[in-house]
Amino acid sequence: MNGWRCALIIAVLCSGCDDMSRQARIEQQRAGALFENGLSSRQPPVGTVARGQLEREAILQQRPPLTDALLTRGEASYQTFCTPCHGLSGRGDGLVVGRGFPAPPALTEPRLLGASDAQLMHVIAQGKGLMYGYESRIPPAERWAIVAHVRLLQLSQHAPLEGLPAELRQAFEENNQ
Amino acid sequence: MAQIFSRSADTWLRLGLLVLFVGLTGGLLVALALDRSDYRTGRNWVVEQPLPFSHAHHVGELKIDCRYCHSSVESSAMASLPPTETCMTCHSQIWKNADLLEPLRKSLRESQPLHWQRVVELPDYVYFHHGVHVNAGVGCSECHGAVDRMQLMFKAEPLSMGQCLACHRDPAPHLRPAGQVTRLQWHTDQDRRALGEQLMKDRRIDPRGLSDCGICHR
Repeated sequence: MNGWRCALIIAVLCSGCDDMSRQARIEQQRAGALFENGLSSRQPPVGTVARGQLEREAILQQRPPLTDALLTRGEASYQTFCTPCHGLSGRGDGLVVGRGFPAPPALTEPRLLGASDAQLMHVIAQGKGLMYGYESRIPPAERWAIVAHVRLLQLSQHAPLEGLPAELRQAFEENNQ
Repeated sequence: MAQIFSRSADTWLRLGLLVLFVGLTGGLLVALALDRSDYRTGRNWVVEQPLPFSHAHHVGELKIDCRYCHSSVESSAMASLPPTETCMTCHSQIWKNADLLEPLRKSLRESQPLHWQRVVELPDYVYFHHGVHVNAGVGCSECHGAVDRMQLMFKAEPLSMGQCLACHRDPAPHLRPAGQVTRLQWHTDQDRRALGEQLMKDRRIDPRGLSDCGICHR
């Protein structure tokens, strides 16, 4: 008899359990009840330096060496964040421009060939004219990779013939005859 | 002494046992089927959003990469839902007076985030890290389906534990070369298994232990 009673009590208690698929915890990008306005954490006080912030800022100062890996990453990031407006070739003919967004200047135009790395980094982070800043979306190291890819686009469309390897140069000259 | 059981008692007993058996197994089968139904898993059910955002338009037609909006997908556990600022990068110029986008402009005016509803949400006792999967080469469409053809967003797969395990036990056919992870319609004529095994070797992915309980339930 006692066994049956125990079983009954356990069954009743179990029916009160949920499967714990939704737990009372604070989650990213979901309103929490800790602070006003649904915030789950506080904004850092003015003037504080977050851990890792100095390292992140140091990355901004020094251009990394132009390696193959950096260019590969730069191409991927450029295609993700820049092509909608600037287009694959940097001429400012992205698909979003085709839908009515005012065309940006070509990244390969002479004025921008002379832009310094720091200027390009600044525009990526803070935006310019109609372009929004991408500071929150693209981390500093990736911005450098994008700058590298922009330089690659610029070079690819202004490369001097003498700079080409002999084979390519020959092929080019044959095609142009 | 009179008979305790009538002549038909034996038949009734057999019939009763049969009904009990059929009822129990049938009930179990129905319960199992319902548990896997789209109604329960949410598969193919459109989730209502603050405004009718079309992935088919933005991803399919405009070819905007997944990472443009879900920018933390390579580096953190969560792919992240975009802030209003991301939408306004284009919509400050395009469709800027459209009634459809009024919730977006209101969000900007009042500095209140749009409450995008999550379409895929694993149970809280499951640990899932987007970055690990994306960097290992698991394509977005493996779990999220052909998002570039969805006018309104819905869950394309039930994402049951069985699905997670199937891939964890045999990841090779699900892996893609670098740069193809976010290409939703990516296709190759190569043998996916051979390609995947090569990629696993290159990326040093060791499938042993991938189906341990503690990998996802930690």
